[in-house]
Amino acid sequence: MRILRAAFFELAGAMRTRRALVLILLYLAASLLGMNGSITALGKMEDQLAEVLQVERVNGKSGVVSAALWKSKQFQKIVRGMVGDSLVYDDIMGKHPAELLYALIVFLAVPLLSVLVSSRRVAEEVKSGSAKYMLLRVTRLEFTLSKYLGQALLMLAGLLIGAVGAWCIAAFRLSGADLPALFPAMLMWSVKAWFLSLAWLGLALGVSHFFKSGAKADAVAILMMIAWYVIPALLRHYANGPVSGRFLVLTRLFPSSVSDMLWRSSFMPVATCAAWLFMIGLFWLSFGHVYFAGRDVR
Amino acid sequence: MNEAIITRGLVKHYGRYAALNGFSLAIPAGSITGLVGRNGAGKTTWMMTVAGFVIPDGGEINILGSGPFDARKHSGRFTILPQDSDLPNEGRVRSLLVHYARLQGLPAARAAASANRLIKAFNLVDKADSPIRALSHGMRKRVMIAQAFLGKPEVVMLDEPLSGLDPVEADRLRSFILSCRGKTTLVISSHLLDDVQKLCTHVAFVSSGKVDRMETMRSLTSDTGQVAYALRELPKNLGEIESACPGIRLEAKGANLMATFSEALTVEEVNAALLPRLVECGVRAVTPGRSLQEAYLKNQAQG
Repeated sequence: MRILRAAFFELAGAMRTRRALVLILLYLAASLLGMNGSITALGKMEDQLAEVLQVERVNGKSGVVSAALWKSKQFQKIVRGMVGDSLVYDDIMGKHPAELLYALIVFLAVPLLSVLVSSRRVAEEVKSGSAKYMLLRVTRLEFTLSKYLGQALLMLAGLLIGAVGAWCIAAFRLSGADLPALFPAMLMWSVKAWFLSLAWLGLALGVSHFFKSGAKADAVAILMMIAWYVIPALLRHYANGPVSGRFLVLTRLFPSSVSDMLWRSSFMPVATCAAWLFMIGLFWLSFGHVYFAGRDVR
Repeated sequence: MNEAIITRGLVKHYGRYAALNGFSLAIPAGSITGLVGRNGAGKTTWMMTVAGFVIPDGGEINILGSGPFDARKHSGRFTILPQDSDLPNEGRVRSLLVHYARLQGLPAARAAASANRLIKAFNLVDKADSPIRALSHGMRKRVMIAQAFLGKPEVVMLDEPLSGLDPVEADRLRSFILSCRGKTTLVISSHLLDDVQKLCTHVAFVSSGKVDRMETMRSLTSDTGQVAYALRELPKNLGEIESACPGIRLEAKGANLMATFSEALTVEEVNAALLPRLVECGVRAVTPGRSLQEAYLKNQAQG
């Protein structure tokens, strides 16, 4: 109960910080601009396709040609090859391009957004001394978990707002699309991206527990985020070479290695992936907590 | 249980520097104990260690008979005003206090009542709904002090509570602290010895990471061996007066005259012997016993 109370206070506090506000607004701007740019690019591509295929272009209805294109066996083969995973391909096949573009934008933005929003949260509270007022009333474990939960709620709010904003752009630009169906679809992609953020938040907040300087915590968290993409890629690259194949299991500790499952539509793969991402988040967060539990908060 | 806090042999090192070097202190329940000592003596480190912010390298801590600080056991029962610690800038005065009170386990209505009582007690009514970032340093300090008294804490530690407060607010805090006498165990760390003397029932002298001595304020300052005379001017024949009053040694301190006497004499006898000889010098006040300041300086000189 105290964790929940502290988490909601953390959410309220985080929402009032200029940094979180600026980052969420930047994310919103990025998702709106990204959506708008993507629709513009999609429209141009479709114009070219329509010209090449000598089919009629319906003005102001980006996505109509792409929707027709999904029905082409040749096109399906190309996309299947690009996706790599036939199950993922089956799930995304037929979805409106605007929905997929939005998903791409949020999945790209979420790791950096999670890291930047939360990496200095604990470090700055330790530095200012405000953490002491909390630690008089909650245990250090409760403090850590409330920060995690509060930041997760902040991310969820930000992502949902982003989805609403992106849908508004889509509604404005894609007059021919099935907008009522697009809205819940975009919200769902935001929720999936939130699952991904749970893992990155764990890493960033875990890092934050080690520092007393927000700038240092930021820098280290960003470097670790990059490393968390590079390490599993290296492990995969060198598997059965210099690295034994059994070490491939370690890649499951890195969010970038498991997040592909979020592209699926069926409940079970997504739920499994979400649970695993949450566990990864807690795993990396636990390193920060273990250090924090034994450190002086002066 | 007679002691609210017991620490035995607390040790804390920062590299080769021993911030606490076998710090042993028992704080009597219901007392107001003043910690006095020079900068770096270990007062703040001891408080931070008792509050669980600093992890000691060795020693024992027992708060309210239930071991070292644990938020699950001591939240709301033990609180502290930490030194040099800012409040979360994003919060507002009332909501922050209510939040802290709720975390201490108070139901919503009691939390709000407690916050409002303290907002009133510390003259923050006008700023109750202001964001913390909009408050002046002194106002923030008052919110920090208020958070330490939320609910009904059994033990409150205040690290330099009066620093940064204007004279009116400092006086308000003194009255508030005095109103807690006998109800709440208070530990106050301060360099303002006059305040410590007025507020505290006990005093502990701290130096080099340990307690040199701890005494009741009464035994320390109502030492029957001294009387201070505040004079308009010092007598010119100090030596003659001293030789005329056997067993009394006189020492000039500014415009004050300090009379130190043997156990064979009483304060009344000393006054009877000295006052007729000092009348011409304009006696403004007679203060039996010595001040904490003198006791402290003597302790420092001996240490």
